Amino acid sequence: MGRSCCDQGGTSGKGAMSFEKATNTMSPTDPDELVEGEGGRELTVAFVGNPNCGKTTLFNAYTGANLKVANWPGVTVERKEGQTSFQGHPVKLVDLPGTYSLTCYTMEEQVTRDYVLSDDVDVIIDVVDASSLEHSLYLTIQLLELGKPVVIALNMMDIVHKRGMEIDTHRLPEMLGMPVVPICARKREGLGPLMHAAVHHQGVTHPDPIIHTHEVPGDLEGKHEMYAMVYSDALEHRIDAVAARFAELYPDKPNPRYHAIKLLEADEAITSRTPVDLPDILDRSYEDEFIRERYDFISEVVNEVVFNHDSRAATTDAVDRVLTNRFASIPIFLLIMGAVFALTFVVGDILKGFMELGLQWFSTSVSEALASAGVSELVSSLVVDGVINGVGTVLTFLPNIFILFLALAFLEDSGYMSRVAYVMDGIMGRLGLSGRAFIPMILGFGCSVPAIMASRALESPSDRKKVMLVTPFMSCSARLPIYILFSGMFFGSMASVVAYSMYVVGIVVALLVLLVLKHVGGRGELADNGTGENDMLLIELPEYKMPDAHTVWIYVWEKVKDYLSRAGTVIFAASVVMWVVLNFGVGGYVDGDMSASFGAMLGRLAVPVLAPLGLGDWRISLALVAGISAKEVVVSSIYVLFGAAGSAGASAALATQLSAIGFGPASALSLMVFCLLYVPCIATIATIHHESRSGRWTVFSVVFQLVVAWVVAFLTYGIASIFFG
Amino acid sequence: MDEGRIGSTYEVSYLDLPDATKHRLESLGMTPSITVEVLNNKSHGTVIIRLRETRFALGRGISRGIHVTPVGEGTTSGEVA
Repeated sequence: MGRSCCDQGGTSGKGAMSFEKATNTMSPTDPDELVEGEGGRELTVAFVGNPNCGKTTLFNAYTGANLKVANWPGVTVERKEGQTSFQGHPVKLVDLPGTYSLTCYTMEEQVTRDYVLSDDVDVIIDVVDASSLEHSLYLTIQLLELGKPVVIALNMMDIVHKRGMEIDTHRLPEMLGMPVVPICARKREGLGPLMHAAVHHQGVTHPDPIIHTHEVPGDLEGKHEMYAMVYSDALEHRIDAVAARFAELYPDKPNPRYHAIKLLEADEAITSRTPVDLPDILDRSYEDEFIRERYDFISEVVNEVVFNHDSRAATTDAVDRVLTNRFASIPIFLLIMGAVFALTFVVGDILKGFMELGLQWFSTSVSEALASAGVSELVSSLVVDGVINGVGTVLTFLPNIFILFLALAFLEDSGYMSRVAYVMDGIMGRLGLSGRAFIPMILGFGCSVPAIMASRALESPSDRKKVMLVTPFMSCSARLPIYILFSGMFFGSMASVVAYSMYVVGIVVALLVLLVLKHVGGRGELADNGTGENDMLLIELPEYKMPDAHTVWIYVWEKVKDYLSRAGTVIFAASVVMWVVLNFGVGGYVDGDMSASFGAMLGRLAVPVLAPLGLGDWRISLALVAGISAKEVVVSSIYVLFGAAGSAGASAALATQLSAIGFGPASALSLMVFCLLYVPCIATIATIHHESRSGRWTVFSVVFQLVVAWVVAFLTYGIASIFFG
Repeated sequence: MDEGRIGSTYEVSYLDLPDATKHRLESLGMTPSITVEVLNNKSHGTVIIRLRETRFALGRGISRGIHVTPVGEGTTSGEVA
């Protein structure tokens, strides 16, 4: 029977209780021991694993949550918590960003390591991609060395079977000394046994009996009974010496062996927090040796437990030969994105027509009902003109939004997203970034907020800042209603082409800004610190798969729900505020004369700035100011400001009114470009602040976007005026 | 590795890269003597490789620093970067 790694000193786990269980009992914990009073003590279980191994799918399966999953590495960038129970015992589940090792290179990996090393976690479930076992076990070995209770969830067993591979699930736990439970998170198979193993393994910090068949060199036979991973004599002697000194210096710290290994690897965080004065032994970094010996052991394990491990995913290789082809890859990428937006505009517009009819009917019905109930004209105006028409107009674009996200969900879940990083690497390399930086930009087509957060996967802080600066230029779904409305009113049969061109303009402006930053040379936070990722792309390419219906549904439903939620909160509030500022002025209620309202005063303040862009009417100016709250508000405000919402042929009525003030195709183009490039919304500003942790940087970003938007819209208006008069 | 031919297999000799990148690659399984298959290679050296049954895309800056010797079909003899 092996001993706990923690036997050598200190405690681990959540306080002394866990340690006592670990040291006083050498058998797995009875789940009943968890109970401390009514309901029992909550067990904290963390899901740890490589990127894209199915942790979030597992988390969703247990908790019923709908966290986003997709088939590319780096989807989860934050720690997420949820609740479940097992046989009446409360269990807190924690989903962590994927990591390949416990040595951190990116912010997301730092999140995982910090949490795994904290005292908050009782049991670690190491989610392992069974179809790529050799690759996954590296992290497993590092987790074992932590000396905390670890259970392996052998996920994706369906793929293993499909490929004709076999894994000896009896031999694997013998070699690693920890429970191994085969599961398929996507099909919700094996979830009960997995949680059962986790609950029973709580407090067990020693390995289960380890059975090796290989010859044990040197004097390390005893260690092979205690640890799954035993290094060469040379390394083990160093580990022993450092661990002994560590235990003397830091008697309260748990697991001296783990710390000794990290100190010998010259891990920056561990070395700075817990330095050890053994200059002769800690004379250099031994990380290379540790890594190689771990992989030697992994090869030994894989050779013993995996059969037919040469079976490969031939389909993925065949598809990749086309999609990542040297000559065809970029045209194919442009075609795919073109198809996404063609579906969004063409099919979406057909469905939008029905939504407009519905809104018209609802608006008229409510108006008549309020009139017949004797409700005052003021209140009726607030409800119908302000709320129903303001919010309702935004809701009519729901079919377009739905189709856009459906298409993006297919792209993300198919496995193509990682390939985009490869396809775009050449272009991004010329702009001083790696192809990986293009992933947040693509995500920006959906929503700027998660797109900016996805920049955490980039290693260099200056690269993150650059990506955060240009990602808002990628046209998010909230801008879609603006393009559909204005291109439809002023460009007839060319409407879809004009709307699509906005996406191209967004990409071009983002790339130009990056080009300028590279050649002019950013200063301060944008300065190249020598760790830039130019040409340093490194990303795992998952296997292609047919998008999973449930995954796609979760993705699309969450986005639609978010859109509806914005309509019911931000856009609702903005519509009410807009109605108030348009119906009241310094003299009180303006009784239909909006030009005397507070709104008109505010709009006129912005007119001098926006007039050179062909946007000199106070109502347009006011709508653009209101659009900072959320871009959909631009559309709802314009309908309300021009009194066109809810009426039959609302778009035609609005076009007539706009034409009457000299607002033509050139102004429409200018407005679309300005909306494309100026500050996306309050939520994006808050995210930039949260991610950069800098008020100065946030202000700079906002001002920068406003200036770029103004300049490009000015040029657009000038050029378009030549063609459209 | 940046000159690796599509479809050929190579044995990794050594990594001539900054420490952080080198250790990151090693922790992904790119250890000395491991064999790597080149699945794709753009003209400027951005490659897709199969390493321990997992595919990775590597930029030119990384592939250039991976020194390999050919062991598979369709390759020239001698060490390539």
